Amino acid sequence: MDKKRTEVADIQRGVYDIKNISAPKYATDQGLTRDIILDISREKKEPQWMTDFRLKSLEIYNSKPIPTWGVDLSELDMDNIITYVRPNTDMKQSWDEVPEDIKETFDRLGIPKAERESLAGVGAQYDSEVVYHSMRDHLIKKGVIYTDMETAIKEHEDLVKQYFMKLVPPNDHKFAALHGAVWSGGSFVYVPEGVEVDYPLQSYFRLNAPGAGQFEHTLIVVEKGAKLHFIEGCSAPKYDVTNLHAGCVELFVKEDATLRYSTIENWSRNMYNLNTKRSVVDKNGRIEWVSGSFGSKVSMLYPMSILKGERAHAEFTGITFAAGGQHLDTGSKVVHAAPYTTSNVNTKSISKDGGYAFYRGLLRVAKNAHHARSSVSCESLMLDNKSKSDTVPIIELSNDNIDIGHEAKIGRISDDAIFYLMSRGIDEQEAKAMIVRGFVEPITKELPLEYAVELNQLINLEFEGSIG
Amino acid sequence: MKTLQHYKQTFVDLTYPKWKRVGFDGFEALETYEKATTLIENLSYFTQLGVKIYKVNSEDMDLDDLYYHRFGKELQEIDATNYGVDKKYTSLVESSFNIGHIINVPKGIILTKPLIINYKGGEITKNLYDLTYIHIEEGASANVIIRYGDKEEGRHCGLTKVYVERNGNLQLTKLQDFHPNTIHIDNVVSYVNENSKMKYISLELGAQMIVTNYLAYLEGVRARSEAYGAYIGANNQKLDISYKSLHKGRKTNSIIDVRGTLMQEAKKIFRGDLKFNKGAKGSVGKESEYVILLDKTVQSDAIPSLLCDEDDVVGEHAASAGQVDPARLFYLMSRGFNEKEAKKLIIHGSFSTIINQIQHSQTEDMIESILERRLLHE
Repeated sequence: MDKKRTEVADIQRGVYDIKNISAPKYATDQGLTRDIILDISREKKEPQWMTDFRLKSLEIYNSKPIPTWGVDLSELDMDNIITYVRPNTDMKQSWDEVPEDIKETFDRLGIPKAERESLAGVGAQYDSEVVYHSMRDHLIKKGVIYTDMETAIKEHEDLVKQYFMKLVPPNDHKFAALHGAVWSGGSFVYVPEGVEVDYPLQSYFRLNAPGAGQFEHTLIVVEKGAKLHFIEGCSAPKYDVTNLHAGCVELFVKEDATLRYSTIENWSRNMYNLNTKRSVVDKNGRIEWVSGSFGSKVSMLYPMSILKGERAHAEFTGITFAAGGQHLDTGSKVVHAAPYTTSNVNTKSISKDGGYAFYRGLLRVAKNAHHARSSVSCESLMLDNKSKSDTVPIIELSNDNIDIGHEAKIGRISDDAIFYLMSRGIDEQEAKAMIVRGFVEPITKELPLEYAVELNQLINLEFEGSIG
Repeated sequence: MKTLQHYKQTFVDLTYPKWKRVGFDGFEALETYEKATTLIENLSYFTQLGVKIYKVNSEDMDLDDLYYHRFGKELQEIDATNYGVDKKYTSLVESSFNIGHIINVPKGIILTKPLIINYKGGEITKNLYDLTYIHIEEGASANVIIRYGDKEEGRHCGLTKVYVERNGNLQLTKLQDFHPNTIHIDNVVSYVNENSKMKYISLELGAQMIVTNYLAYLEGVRARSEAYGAYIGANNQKLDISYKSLHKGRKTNSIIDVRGTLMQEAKKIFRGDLKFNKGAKGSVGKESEYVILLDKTVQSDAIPSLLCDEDDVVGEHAASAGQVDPARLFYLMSRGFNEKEAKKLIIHGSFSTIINQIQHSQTEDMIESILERRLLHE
């Protein structure tokens, strides 16, 4: 197959200083071997069960074909997976090697220099390390476990083993299997029964862990009656030379517990973002997803909520912004698997400059899920004639005693609305940005303040230079 | 230009599609060729007005002369769209139709009476493969009602192609009340030109396996398509019904409005595709599906898609499913109706906006009695 190397991949060679590996044909995927996996596991000093788990996942990965639906993965350089996971890889780069547009974005977003360097994979120590430590003590007193995955496997082995990749098993799909084989980094959070964590935990405190970033595994368990707000990842475009992100997020929300999981995914524009996020919610439990997808070249992301217990509830608020060169295939999946469960899905997507936003959703009500109620709303805004926006929701209902509604709408910014704002002295570009900010307002109001500010600034950035 | 030979070859070359959701993998279609029958009511009224109506079947007709020669250009345009449930089934009809009509309504002729066509399968084989081509010339208008009502078990695969020239108007109603074991596959494709309108009303009230597809191709500026469907799924029936509006011209308009009810282990998948091609500026498309679920044994799936390559459009869809509104049920029962009767009234109410558009009282009465039988006595 064509091996198209992007400009970024060229930089990759230099940074990693890797000797030329004979690149096998894509079809046989020989890039990833047992030895590599054993190396990874040995390097991490993992217990035997995890090593075995990785090897089994590798077998599954090799046996599965690449999916033929959704985005085009033909340019995904699978041969270089070995490069991503090689244990001796020095992930540090110099600030100078970060592309200009990314450096500029950090400036515009107001991200402090120390954080920038971390987000850029430079991996230096930074000031917030101190803050992190003091937070940590406060949580420990409450019995909350909040640590990186590698540490969690060693220090809380039994707990982690109970949950690890039980919700997203390796045989779920090819990239889940890949994740199972080469996962690295990520967070483990355990909130004991009845504990309410009173401020949001943010995972980018974890970025300076070795090998972090592209295959991180986030595992969160919120025990009965507990409460947590978790904010994933960074909201700045992360400069990452690797072009595949196959992360995994597993959320276990127990009886009467509440978990809010907020993300702004803004990967660099060369990235293939094939992330799997899933939660299972017990009786009276509540999962709230707040999700923003901005970056990456290609994304396939469908956070899924399994409402397993009676009266469980899922809330999903999402925004997808596809600009030129991007194909973002995102959506949400909700499965009502118990009586009296409820869900609310509210998604917005914007496409501009030739971007392609695709909403793909699933709403399934199982046979036993009587009195299930759900309302799904998807709105798509196309900002010009070069873009594409598709909505394909699937609704599968196996019980009659339910109340299900779904609506979707596609359109553009009304000319009347722009005219009105311009007649009030606002220029066209600012008028469009205002309308788009208003369009995404239901999502921004769910985000913590600094993320909302960053989201608005990202929108402004997207609008600058647009022909209008 | 496609010929019978071409379609025969296509049919032979293709395999039957496997439809997972309804569990149907095809049937052995062509053991013996036996002509089916048809009856058109009031034929002389139409022929007097200059309407050309030719009865056709694939064995007797010299299609090159009549069908393809006269309407070749239009048929080519229709062929360029991707119509039908699957090419295997459409080529079956196009190569081996055992009954059909070519109907041409001349320029400017406005028909005030509906043209009623009844189709019935072969006496022995009970197969019915009907092919109907309706051509509405510029400024003409017609109301065509096709009725299928074989009382014995059989197989039906139908294809109706419609071409509406500019400023033309066609209302097409299809009513089927097939035997409860019949396999029913139906395809309708309409090519709608500038300033024209196509209204399609479909009543799926019988058969065991129902697989249908309606495609409206809105080619010309201000072309308009309205598609209304009503169905009953009961007694283990399987329904896979698909409606597509493809907007190509500017300021085109479409409506898809499908209502149904399910009970007794029936299974349904509704596919609605609202597609806006680039260039369909100023177009508006609306799609909605409402289903009333009558017991917990049913399976109701829906995929209402919106596909958009043009920003200057408005596309909307809505889908909802649930039980009969308890307040309404209570009210009717408090007026002396038993539960079954009350439910039947409510479902009938939901279908009535569709039935009232047919504009032929005999057909409407037929539908009423089918609803009465199926909703009250089955």
